[in-house]
Amino acid sequence: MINSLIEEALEHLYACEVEDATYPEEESILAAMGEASSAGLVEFRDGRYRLTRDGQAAGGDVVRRHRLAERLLSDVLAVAGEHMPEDACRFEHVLQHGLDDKICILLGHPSTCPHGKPIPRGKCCRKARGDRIEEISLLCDGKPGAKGVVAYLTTRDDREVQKLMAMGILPGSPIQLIRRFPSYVFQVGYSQFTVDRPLAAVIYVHWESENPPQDQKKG
Amino acid sequence: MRCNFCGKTFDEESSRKACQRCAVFGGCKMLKCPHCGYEVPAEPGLIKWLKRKLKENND
Amino acid sequence: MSVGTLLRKIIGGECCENQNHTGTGLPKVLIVGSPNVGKSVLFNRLTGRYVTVSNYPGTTVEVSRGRSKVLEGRFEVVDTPGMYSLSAITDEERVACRLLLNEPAQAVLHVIDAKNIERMLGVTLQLIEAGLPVILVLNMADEVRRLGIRIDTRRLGELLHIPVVETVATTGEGIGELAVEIGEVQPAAGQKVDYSGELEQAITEVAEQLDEAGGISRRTRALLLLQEDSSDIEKLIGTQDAIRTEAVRAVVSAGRGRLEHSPHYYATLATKREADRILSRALSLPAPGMPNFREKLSRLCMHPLTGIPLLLLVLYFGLYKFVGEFGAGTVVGFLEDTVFGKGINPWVNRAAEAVIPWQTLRELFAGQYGIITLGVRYAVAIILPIVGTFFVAFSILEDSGYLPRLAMLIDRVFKKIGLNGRAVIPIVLGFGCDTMATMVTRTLETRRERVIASFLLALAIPCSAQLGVILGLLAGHPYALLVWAGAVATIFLLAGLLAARLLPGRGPSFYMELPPLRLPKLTNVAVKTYTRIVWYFREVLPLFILASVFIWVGRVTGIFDLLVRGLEPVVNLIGLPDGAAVAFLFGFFRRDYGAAGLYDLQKAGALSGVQLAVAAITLTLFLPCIAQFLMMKKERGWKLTLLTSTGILVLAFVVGFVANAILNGLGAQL
Repeated sequence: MINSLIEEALEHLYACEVEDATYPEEESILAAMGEASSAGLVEFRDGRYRLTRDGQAAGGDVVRRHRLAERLLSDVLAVAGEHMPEDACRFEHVLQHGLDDKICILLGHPSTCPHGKPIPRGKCCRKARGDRIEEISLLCDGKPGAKGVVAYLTTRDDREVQKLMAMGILPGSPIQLIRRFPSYVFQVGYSQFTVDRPLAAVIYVHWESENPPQDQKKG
Repeated sequence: MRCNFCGKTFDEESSRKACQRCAVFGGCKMLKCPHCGYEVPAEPGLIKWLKRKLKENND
Repeated sequence: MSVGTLLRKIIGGECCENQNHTGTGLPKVLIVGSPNVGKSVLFNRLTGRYVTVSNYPGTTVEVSRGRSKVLEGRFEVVDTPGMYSLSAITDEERVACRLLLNEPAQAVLHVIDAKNIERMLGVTLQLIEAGLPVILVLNMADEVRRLGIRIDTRRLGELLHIPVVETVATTGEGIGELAVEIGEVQPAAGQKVDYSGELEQAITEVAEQLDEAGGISRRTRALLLLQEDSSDIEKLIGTQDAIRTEAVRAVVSAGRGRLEHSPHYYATLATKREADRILSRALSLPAPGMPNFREKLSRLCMHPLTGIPLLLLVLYFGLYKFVGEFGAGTVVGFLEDTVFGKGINPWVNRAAEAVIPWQTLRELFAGQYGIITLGVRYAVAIILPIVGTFFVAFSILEDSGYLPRLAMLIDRVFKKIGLNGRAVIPIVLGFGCDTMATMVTRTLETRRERVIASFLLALAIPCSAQLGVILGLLAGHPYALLVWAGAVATIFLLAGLLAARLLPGRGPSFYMELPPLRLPKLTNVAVKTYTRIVWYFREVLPLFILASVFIWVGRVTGIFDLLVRGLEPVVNLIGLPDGAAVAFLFGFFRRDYGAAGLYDLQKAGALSGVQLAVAAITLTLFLPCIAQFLMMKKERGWKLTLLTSTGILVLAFVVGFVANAILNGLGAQL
């Protein structure tokens, strides 16, 4: 059983070694290295701590949980700003025993965290790939002409929910994006609607696979 | 009748309900669409009468 | 009311009382369905005059009840709030759900928008599963026919084992048939929806724990229990026994724990699957061809690169050519010169001279500023043709479905000035008559928007009467026209930006349906135009007569001379001759009259191009006409009206001064 101190160290080491090919400041991880190496997760070679195979898997897992937590907080719970990093840190230790996969499914197997860093794939993502389930993203990020199904709405505002529902936008309704500029235009059933960005930014869509969403960084 | 703005249909009854949300409720001769809030002037009596006559002829 | 307080109120016990509020004791007919499917129209068709509307206990949600007009008044018809599924998300849905659970009904009419049957049939299936006496009402059947969708109603009825009726509630089609079915309907046999997988298992397990109770099937109650921590738990479980209740709760939470997504998600998928299966045998959709001409035109209207030129074309032909040249030119010319100038006015003047011996009183009715010779003439000879042609153009636009597309195109710009796309209506109307547009601002959602819109209308939107004269005034000076248009547009945006900054409040949100574009129908356009003109005369003509009285008072008492003398130095300050002061003063009483005053000066050759441009700019921005002023007072109150007007007065002259300084400084020749 590895404790959260080791998890933090593995996460840090993973982000530096695997993703950036750098080495972290040793003091920041040193305290956990003794236990980690006796668990066979790191080894000391050429004057540096390196992740073993098991260590890479464990580190990737922590990173994955952290970034999923960030997505969950920013997309669904609409927490933003300064608190997010701390909250995500606390969440990552909670998301264990398959809970991370459930969150991953709920979010539609996102590939990046809100800061654009990659989220290591989990078992569920590989399975979803096999089932051709593609990523869920915001209606605003769709490509004009793309079709999909409304996945979920991220608003707590009852009035907003009502406006959206009056347009027939509910989880499960087929939707097609028609225009993004100057306002968002989409088709639901036989009706077309136009909405502004704030309203379009609470609708998450499960896009059909022929029309992958555009680059997420835009907009 | 049909709203000129959003294209949905409504009757005078539901329009009157929508009116209750308006700040200057009462006094105006407008019909408010309960779906989008757009207001159109109510049809004058002459038009209503004509429509009724036409309908009677059709029936 | 927040959801929290609402829940507390419901949990507080109000749900358990008997729901028979009207006490009619009649068997009930419940109308259920999503919003916007014509439920309330159908309700009004089925009921007579005596309808009671009351809040559902503990909520702000309204429920209408009325005795049925059909079937010899044997039923009480209840119009439930809109609901999208049996799982309650909003207050309205919660109330609708509760009505279904608590009020045993003779018939439950599930009203759907027939063209969206694929989306809506899922709920029908859930109602059938609940074992309710469901009748499926395919409303708006006329639209379905127009779209070429074919629904085999009989087949559908056989597949669902319930009555299915096509109606057009707005015309009354199918209501008779529906009434017959209401009298005969039986509770649905309760075919099951196969939810499959974990949810099916959970439902089965929970249902086994429940007793038969009330009219709702055990499976449905099990699903509702799984979906929500509903306050109706006791009712759903159907037993008072605390130990049994606890046992059910345990099974429910165990079942819920095994599900990956919410039960609602699985239920939606399962009912959708089932609906698709059934509809594959009863529904045929038109072959999806290429986007047709309408759709292509619609997209062109919404693309900024093609939409803006299209808008300019519409403005050029609709506003400039039709309203400006034909309405304000040809028709006004005929009525002014021929009908009033040669016919009515001389006759009225002669008659007044013969009947009224006192010069002063005579001037109230006849002469240069009389009620008939000025007020009525103004309304009939100038305003009627201009506003009439404008209304024709506007009605055509309205009937074609173009306006929502314009709203969509312009929303982003309007957001910057504190409005949203919907404000195109009052702003576009303003080009016809600002007075009417000010009245229409009440359609805007928030007070903040209403204030900003009426301010901008008063400041920078010239009405058609004024526009006509200004265009005539600047006709020989294309550059002056450009300077004028540029300056007014800039002021409109700047003032809007500033107003949006200064006024507190949340930014508006924009959403609307885009109805299909269609060819305007002549009868629709004629009815709309006629309706508007009648309304216009009723509302606005009295204001013009009042203006005539004011002018009369002003002249008789000599106040006008004082005001003109007071205005002269100000007018000189922006580089205009003394004569322009009269034009400005009258500009308040009739916006176009002010411009017309300048017209005389220009004809006399007293104004240069720069002076014309400056005068036109100042006059456009200048105080609204008196009718608009009175309308603003009516809509916004005295305080705001006076504040706005003072601001506008100052702003108009400051802008005029700056424009004059810049143009002269550059040595511009316009």
